[in-house]
Amino acid sequence: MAGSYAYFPGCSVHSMVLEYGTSGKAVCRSLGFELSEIPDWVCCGATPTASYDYDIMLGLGKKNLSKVKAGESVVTPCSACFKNLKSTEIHLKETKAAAPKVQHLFQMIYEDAGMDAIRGKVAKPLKGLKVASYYGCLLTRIDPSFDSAEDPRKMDELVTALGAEAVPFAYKMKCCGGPVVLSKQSLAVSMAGKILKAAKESGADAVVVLCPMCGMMLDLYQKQALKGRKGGSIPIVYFTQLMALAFGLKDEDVALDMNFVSTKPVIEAMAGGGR
Amino acid sequence: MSQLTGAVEASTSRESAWESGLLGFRDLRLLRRCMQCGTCSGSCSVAPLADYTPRMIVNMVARGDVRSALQSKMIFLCTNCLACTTRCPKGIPVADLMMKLRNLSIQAHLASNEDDASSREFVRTLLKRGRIYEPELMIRFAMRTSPLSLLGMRGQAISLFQKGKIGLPSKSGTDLSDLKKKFKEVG
Repeated sequence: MAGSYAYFPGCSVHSMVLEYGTSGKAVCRSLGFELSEIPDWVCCGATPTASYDYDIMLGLGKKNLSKVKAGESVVTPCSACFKNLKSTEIHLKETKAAAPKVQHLFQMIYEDAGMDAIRGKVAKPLKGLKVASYYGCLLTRIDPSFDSAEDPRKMDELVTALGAEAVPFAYKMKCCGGPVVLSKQSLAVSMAGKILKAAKESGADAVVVLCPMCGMMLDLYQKQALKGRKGGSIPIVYFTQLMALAFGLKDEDVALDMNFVSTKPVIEAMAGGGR
Repeated sequence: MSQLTGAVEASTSRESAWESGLLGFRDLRLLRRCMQCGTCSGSCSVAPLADYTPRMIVNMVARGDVRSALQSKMIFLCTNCLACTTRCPKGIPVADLMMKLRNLSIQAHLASNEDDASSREFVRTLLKRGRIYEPELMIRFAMRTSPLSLLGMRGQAISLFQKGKIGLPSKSGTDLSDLKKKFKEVG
């Protein structure tokens, strides 16, 4: 299961979602994965670059993939980076050029570590915690061979392996609005609001996410998105934070104090009040 | 609005440029397979807010009416969530078509100020250091659209600051001169 990977962090794990970067690295270390950051990586371009000029996005992707050592896979924690790097990989392969395999961090952990290894690492099962798994648009729609693009279940499998309960969640694939938050903020916020409302109605204690864009919309914009709606807030946590928590890693690796909406309900929901 | 109409009516040469631009869209021939079932529109989170739905955009382009498609609000409302592409029973990459239309719309200066600024200022910020620095992007966008909108972002800015998530910009040493040149060419 151990292996070495070229790590593409993306811009947001160094700023808006420090907790995702920190917990992701800690979980990988714990599972025996060696991540070496791609030297001088450049931003993947996200959605706005492809909107401006698709070839500039591909140009950025090619620069990043060309720095990867032969035989190494690329892994990124962000679904938007994953979309662009995967599109570049597909484009290069279609033109008969060499390209490394691109994986999302969740995909790498699921496929290359496997559920048995993960179960073996669980020191503190997340008993009593109910979560709504939110996959977001891009992971399975870009690579439907990994999990269903209509009703994915692999994140539910992961949280179940960690000892938590996955509640049925109809909005698991609904767009968070992230790509239009700059140009059409109120639209993006209303899209996030619908997902949050559904998550609260699902009975979940928290929403688990795997993309910094989704995280930003549901967490940073939650106050605005739930304005005028009944009830309180709902914590948004990255899957790597739940893994780090269940593996019994250090508090600074779990980084539950870094999320915007208070994550206290996560600890409180766990039987015995957690740690 | 009159300026926009003027730009659209301006020249037939520009129209042929759109068409040749679209010919570069590798899946153009696939559009003719569309049977107008509307699965794309039914799957779209933003279609209810648009003037023309994805189904209508595909129809317009397949029939050669690129000009109407380029003027539609739909192409920039699209979040590129790929629901339409995933579900299309005929394998039409509808979301890629939206992207291609955006590229053409920006080149032809038909995009609204907000839509143009959100993509152009993003690329400009990116190409400066090779990485995105969110505060700079927000300011550039606000200066081009509504500087007062920065006040509306103060809640988020305070949250980010309190969590220590606004730091100094990070820089990549990768040479981006070829992409900077391309950025100027797109104009």
